[in-house]
Amino acid sequence: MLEKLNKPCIYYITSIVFIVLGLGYFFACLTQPYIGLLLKNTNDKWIVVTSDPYGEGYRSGIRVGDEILKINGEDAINNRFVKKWGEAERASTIEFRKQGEFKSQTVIITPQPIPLSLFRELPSLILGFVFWFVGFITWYKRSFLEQARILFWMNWLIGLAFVLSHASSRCLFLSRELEYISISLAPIFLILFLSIFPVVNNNRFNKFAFIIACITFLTTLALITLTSLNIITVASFTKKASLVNVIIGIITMLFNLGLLIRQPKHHPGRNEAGIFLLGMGIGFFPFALLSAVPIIFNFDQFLYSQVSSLFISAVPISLYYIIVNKYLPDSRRLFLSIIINISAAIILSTVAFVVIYFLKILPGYIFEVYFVLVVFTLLFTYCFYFIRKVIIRLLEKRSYFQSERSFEQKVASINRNLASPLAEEQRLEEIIKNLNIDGIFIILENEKLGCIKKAAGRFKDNPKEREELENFFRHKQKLDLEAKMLPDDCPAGIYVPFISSDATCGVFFGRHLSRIKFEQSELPFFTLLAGQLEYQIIMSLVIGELTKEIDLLNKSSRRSQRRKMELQGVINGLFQKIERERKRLSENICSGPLQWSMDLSRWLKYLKTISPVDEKTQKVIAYLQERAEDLNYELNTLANKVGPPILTHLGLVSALQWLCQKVMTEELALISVQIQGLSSQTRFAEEVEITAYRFFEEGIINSVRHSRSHFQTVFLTMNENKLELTVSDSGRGFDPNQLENWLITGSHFGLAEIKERIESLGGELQVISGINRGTTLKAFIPISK
Amino acid sequence: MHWDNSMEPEKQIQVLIVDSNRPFAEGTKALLSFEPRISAIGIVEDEYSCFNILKDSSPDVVLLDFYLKDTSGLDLMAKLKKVQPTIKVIMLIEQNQEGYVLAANRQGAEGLLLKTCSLDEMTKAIFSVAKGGVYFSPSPSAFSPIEIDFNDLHFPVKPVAVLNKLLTPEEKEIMRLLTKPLSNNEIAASLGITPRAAEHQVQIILLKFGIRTRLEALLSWFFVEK
Repeated sequence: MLEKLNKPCIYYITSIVFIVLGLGYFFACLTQPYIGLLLKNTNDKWIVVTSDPYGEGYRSGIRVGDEILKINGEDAINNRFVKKWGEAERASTIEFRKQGEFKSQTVIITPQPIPLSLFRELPSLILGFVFWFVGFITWYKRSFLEQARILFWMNWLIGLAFVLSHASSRCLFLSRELEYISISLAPIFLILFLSIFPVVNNNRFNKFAFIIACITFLTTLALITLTSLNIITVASFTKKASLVNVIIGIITMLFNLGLLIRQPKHHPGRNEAGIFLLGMGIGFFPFALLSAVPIIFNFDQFLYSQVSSLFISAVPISLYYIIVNKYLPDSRRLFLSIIINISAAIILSTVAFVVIYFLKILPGYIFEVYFVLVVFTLLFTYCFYFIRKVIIRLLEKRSYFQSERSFEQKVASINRNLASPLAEEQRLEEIIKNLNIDGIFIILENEKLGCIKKAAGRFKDNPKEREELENFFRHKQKLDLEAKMLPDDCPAGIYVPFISSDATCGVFFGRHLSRIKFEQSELPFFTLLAGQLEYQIIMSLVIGELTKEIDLLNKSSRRSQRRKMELQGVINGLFQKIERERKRLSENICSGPLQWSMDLSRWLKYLKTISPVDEKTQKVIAYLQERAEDLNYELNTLANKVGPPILTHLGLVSALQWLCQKVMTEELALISVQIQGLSSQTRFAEEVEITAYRFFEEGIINSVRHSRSHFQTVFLTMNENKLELTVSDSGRGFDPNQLENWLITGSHFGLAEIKERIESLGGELQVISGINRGTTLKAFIPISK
Repeated sequence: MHWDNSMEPEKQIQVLIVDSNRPFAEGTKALLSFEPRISAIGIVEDEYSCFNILKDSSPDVVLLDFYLKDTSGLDLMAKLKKVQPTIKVIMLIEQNQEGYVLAANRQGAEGLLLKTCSLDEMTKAIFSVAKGGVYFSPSPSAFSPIEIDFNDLHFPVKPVAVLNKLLTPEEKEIMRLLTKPLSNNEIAASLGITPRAAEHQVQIILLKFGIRTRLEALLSWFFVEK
C-alpha cells in the first residue's frame, strides 16, 4: 500500500489538501463561536457534564450540572449536534436551567471579537502546519528514506488533527469525523515509523501493537461512519476508541525509546533516541508546566496557555533533525547544557525574586511572577549568548581582534618553522621572540637518552628557576597530564606535560613580555606548540642516534666489503695454488716414479728374453712384470686424477675427448660431445684450460653419478671472445637455488668451487635445473687471443 | 709394420735420445747398446742441447719424448724436420691415449712408441723408420673416431649367440659383475685381481663387442643373460 503512495505527486496533492483543509476550517472557526458544553442525557434531561472555561457557554454562566432545555428555540433533544455528539455547538441561543433552580434562563451566544479568537485559534493551526511542513521538508530532502516517507504521513495526520481540533470542537462539517480518523490513524504510522527508526526494530511488541492499532482504527472508522449516518449515537465511545490508539502509540514509543536507551554507548540509535527525547522534553515540558501544573496545584489556568503548545513543534523538528543529518551532536552534552542553563536561570531568578520580594515591589509571594522570572532569565541567557556571538562575529569581520588572530598566525608560522631542521637553541630563541614571551624550558626524560633539558630566554641563565620548574615537573608528571596555567609566583606561566610511549616531557612557557596574563583560550595553542617542540626534540635526538648508527654501519660495511674482497682474493689464490700443486704433483709423478717404473717394466721385458729358460726364473720375471705394469697403471691413474698430463700436453679438446671416453668405459653413460669453432690444436691460457676442464669433469661426473640419466650432452663452442661450455642431461635435476646454500654449508663443494673459479676469470656459470626437469650447466669463460 | 731380417741395413743407425728424464734416457741408451746395429749417439734433455748436438752430428733417428722441460715434443719435431728434413722421429708416450697418437700422426712423426715397450719393439721401430717406413704402436687407426648417435643405438650390438660365444667364462663373470653395476675397482676387489687387470679385461670385452662404451656392453649383455 505504501509503495503505491510513494509517488511525488501524491505527496504534493496531500500537502495541498492539507493546506486547503487547514485554512478553510481555520477561517470557518473564526465565524463560529465555541460553546464548549458537553451534555449527557440523564432521565431524558440534557445535563452539562463539562463546561469548557474558554467556551462561550461557560462565559454565559452555564456550569456543570445545569440542564439545557432549548437550543436555538427548539428542544435540546431535537438538536442535531446534541443527538450526534452530545454537544451544544452551533447554538445562537441556549435556554438552560441552573442546578437546583426552577427558573430557566436564555442566553444569546455572540461570537468573540476576531483578534481574540485569532489569538486563541492560531497556535494549533501553526502547530499543525509545523508538523506537516517538517514532514514535507523531511520527505523532500530525504525522499529515498522510508523513515522520511512514513514521517511525512505521520506528521500529516498529526498536523491535520491539530488543525482540525478547533473546527471539530465547533462541530464544523465533517471536521470531527476527520479529526477522529486522523487521530486514530496517526498511531499506526507512529508504530510503523518506530519499527524502522532509528534502527530497524521489528520486535514482537511492535508487530502486536501494530495489529491492535489497526483493529482499533478500523473499529473507530466503522463507528464514525455509523455515527455520521445517524445509525447509532456513540460519540463518546468513538472518541475513546481513537484515544485508545493514541495511548497504544505512546506506549509503543516509550517501549522503543526504552530499548534504544539501553543500547551500548557507541550505538548511533542511542544518541538519536536521546535527541528525540530532548525534543520531546522541550516540546512537552512548557505545555505540561502551563497546563498540567495549575490543574494539579489548583492554580488558576493561565489564560491562553495554548501558546505553550507551540513548543510541541520541537518534537517533529527533532525528528527532522535526526533524519536529515547523518552526524549528530552528543545528546548527553545537549542535556547537560540545557540542565546547566535552566539551573542557572532558576538560581538567578530566585535571587531576583527574593530581592523584589524584600524591596516590597511585590505585594506577596506570587508563583506566576516567579515563573515569569525563570522564563525571562532563561530567555535572557540565550539571547545574551546569541547577541554576544553575533557581536564577536561582527567584530572579527571588522578585524578588531587583529592581535588575537595574529597570535594564532604566529603559532602556525612557528609550527611551520619547526618542521625545518634548525638548530634547537636557535629555534627556541626564535619562538620566544615571535611569541613575545620571556622564556621556554623543556625537560624530556627518556629511558635510552636519559634526561634532557633545554632552556631559552630567562631560564637559560637562571639555574634556580630551572630547578624549581624541574621539581614541579617531577612532582606533577605522574599526577596530572593536563596543560595548565601556573600561579603568579611561579617563574613560568604555562606548563604543558606529555607522556609518550618512551618519554615523559614537560614544557614550561615563560610569561608575556607585556606582563599580560595568559588567557585560557591560548592554552590549546601552547599545547600544540609544546607537542611540536617535544616531537622535534625527540626526532632530532633519534636522528642523531640514527646518524651515529648509520655511520657505524657504513664503516662496518666498508670493512666487510674490504674483507670480502680480501677473501675473494684468498679464495682465488687458494684455488690457483691447489691447481698448481696438482699440476706439480702430476708432473712429479710423471717425471719421477712413472719414468722409473716404465724403465723397470721394459728392462724386465728384456730380462725375460735373455734369461735361461728356467721355469722358476720365468715365473718370477713374469710376476715382476705384472707388478711393474700395475705400478705404471696406478701412477698414470693418479697423475690423470690430479692433473691430466694430456691437458698440459695437447690442450682442452683432446683432454675433453679423453675424459668422455674414459667416463664411457668406466661408467654407465653415453656422452655426446659436440665441438664447434675450435680444433684439437686450439690452445688457451693455462688457467682457462684447467678451469674449463674442471667444469666438464665436475659436470659430467655429477650428472653420471647423481642425475640417474645415462645420456649426457657436452658442448664446447668458441665464439669471438669466449668459450661456451655446456653439460646437460635429462635426469632428475635439483633446485638451483640450493647452489647458494651449498656454498654456505660447504656441501656439494665441487660445483660451488667451479662457480668461484669461473667467476674469478670473469666468466659466468648458469645452472638451469628443476626437480625432474633435467640439468643444464652452462659456463662462459672469456678468452684473450 | 712388418720387419724382415733380410732387409737389415749394414750401416749402424745413429740414434739421438731426447728425453727430459735423464735416468730413463740412460736406460734407453743402455738397452740400445745391446743392439750392435744401433748406435746411440747421445742423450739430450732440452731443445737447446738438441740443436747443439745436431751441429756436430746428424742422427738418422730421433727418439723424442712427447714432453720436454722447455718445449713440447711436437714443436721440437717440427723444428728438427725443418733443419734436417731427412731426419726420422719416433715419439715416446707414457699413456696409450688417442690424443697423443692422433697428434703425433698429424704432425708427421714416423713412429710412435709407448715408453714401456720392449727392446725388440724399439729396435724394430728404429729400423723401420730408418728405412723410410713408419712404426706406430699403438696405431692411430685403433682410434678411428666413433660418433655416438643417440637416435641410432641398437641392442644387442651383435646377435646374442655371437656375443655368448665371444666371451670366455671369466669375461662372462665380469659382465655379470658389470650389470650389478660394479666399478672397475669393485670388480677387481671381488675377483682378487688388480684394478689394471680389471680395466684391461673390460677393454678386451668392449673390443670383442666392437664398441667403446660400457653402457652399450651392459645393455647388450641383458639380452644374453635374459
